[in-house]
Amino acid sequence: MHGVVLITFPAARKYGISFCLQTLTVLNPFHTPEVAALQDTDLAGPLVFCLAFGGFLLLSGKVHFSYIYGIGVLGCLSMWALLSLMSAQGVTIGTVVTVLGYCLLPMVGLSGVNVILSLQGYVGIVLTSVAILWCSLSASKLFVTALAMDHQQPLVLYPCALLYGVFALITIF
Amino acid sequence: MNYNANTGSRPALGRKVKRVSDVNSMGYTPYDPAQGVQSNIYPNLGSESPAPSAYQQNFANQQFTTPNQNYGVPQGNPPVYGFNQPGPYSNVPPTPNAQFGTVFGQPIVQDMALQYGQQLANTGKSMLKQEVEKFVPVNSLKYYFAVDTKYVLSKLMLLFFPFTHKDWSVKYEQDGPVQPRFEINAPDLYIPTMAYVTYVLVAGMVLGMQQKFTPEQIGIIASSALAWFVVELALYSCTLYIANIKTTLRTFDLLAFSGYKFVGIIVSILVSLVGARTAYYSCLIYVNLALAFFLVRTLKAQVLVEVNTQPSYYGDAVPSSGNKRRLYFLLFVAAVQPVLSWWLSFHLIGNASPEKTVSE
Repeated sequence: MHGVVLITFPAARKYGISFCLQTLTVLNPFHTPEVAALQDTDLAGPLVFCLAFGGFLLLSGKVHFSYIYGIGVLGCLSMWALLSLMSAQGVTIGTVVTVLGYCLLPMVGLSGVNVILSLQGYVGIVLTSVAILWCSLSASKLFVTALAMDHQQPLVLYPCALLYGVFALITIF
Repeated sequence: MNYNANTGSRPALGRKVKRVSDVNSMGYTPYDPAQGVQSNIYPNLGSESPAPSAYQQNFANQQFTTPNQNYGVPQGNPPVYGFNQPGPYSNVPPTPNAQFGTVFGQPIVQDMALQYGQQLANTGKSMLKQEVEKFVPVNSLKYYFAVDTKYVLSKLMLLFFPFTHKDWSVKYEQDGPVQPRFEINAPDLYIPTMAYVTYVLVAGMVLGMQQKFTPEQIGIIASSALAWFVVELALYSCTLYIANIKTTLRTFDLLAFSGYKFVGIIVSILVSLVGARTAYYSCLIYVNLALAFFLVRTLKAQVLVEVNTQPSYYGDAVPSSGNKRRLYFLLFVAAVQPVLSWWLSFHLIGNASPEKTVSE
């Protein structure tokens, strides 16, 4: 798949690679990612995902772009502060934005599902929890790998889960 | 990371001299850096660059933002050069005008631009760090976040059931207490911070279940909890100061100890979803008892230990009165916690949980 991207879109080669790599990494939270894949700061992918999220919410009748933006910025800043205090080497805000943005993908799926069926029953709760857990697992896995933090993945997972929980709150209510 | 396609084949042109001025020499023989006017093109890089003339600075800034405008070179050189550098660059071979448009496609220009951007970012970062360091002592704060999963889990268990824990003393290294990662009795700030944020979210969720939720509520809850937190901290600090109690307790330690009650508040609120007020109140009472026990034991190890180590010039008079004051302070801290826990959560409890009325 990478070969296809490389050959057919040479102009988009750089963005194509990181986009595909990151998306694939997010989709499989149990697979250990390579550290090199996380070094470049890609803000285009997260932006695409945020816009898709807002677009699906729009389809459900909720115009919440300002909330998404506000919570996104606030969440990224707080995660950056927390991670730079918790990790030995510190973290750039670009890395935080990239990881958190890419791991929003399951939440985009959830908002897509929300267009078709309402998420307020038991099925909705289960789906929402799965989506939040998936997002947080991927994000914490990426953070722990990139920052070489040992025995701290659940500690990183919890704030990510809180952040994605707020996004889920916007989706459902 | 270098995304340039021409990495392998591009000749190294003056790369060792990493200055914006080298842009001038792209495609040509390296420009003689002995000319003093070169160094003036290095704009806005903190204090280490010599102050360039504002005009040249303007030019150097503009060359990266408006590549297609054709600025007339001030010193009267004809605008034939691809880059419109000011100054007497007359010994550079004249660039044909056709190259001007493609000049930014050349990889060396992109590299220069990348370096320039990176250096700007680095300067910005170091400036930001300095500013932040003024308000928040980052290094001492890092100590409180040096936790791992085992510590957090054990600490949470300790908060709910401290009655069987035997050893409450904190081990010290040469320059301070051991990191929380290695010492369960040391205070940390991770749990209080997470508990505070969770409290705000859980409060929002509970209000949502009672149909009383608006997004402004989150802001109101968050800021009022923060305000009470600050008031409590100020109260403790004033008490310590007025009663002249000397302890090794730092402000961050007090912050940590005050923040532990949020864990109890969260659990009480969640329990109130299952039962009604009875469950809420019983849970609140138990959690606060456990917290009071925990605080008294922990603070006793830290506040009262001064008595034995300080040399006393007044015989036994000072330690004993200091002892009583310290004890009162401990009891005061332990007594404030339940009051504040109740105050911060009772308005979130509904009269009857909605699930019960719906399901029956």
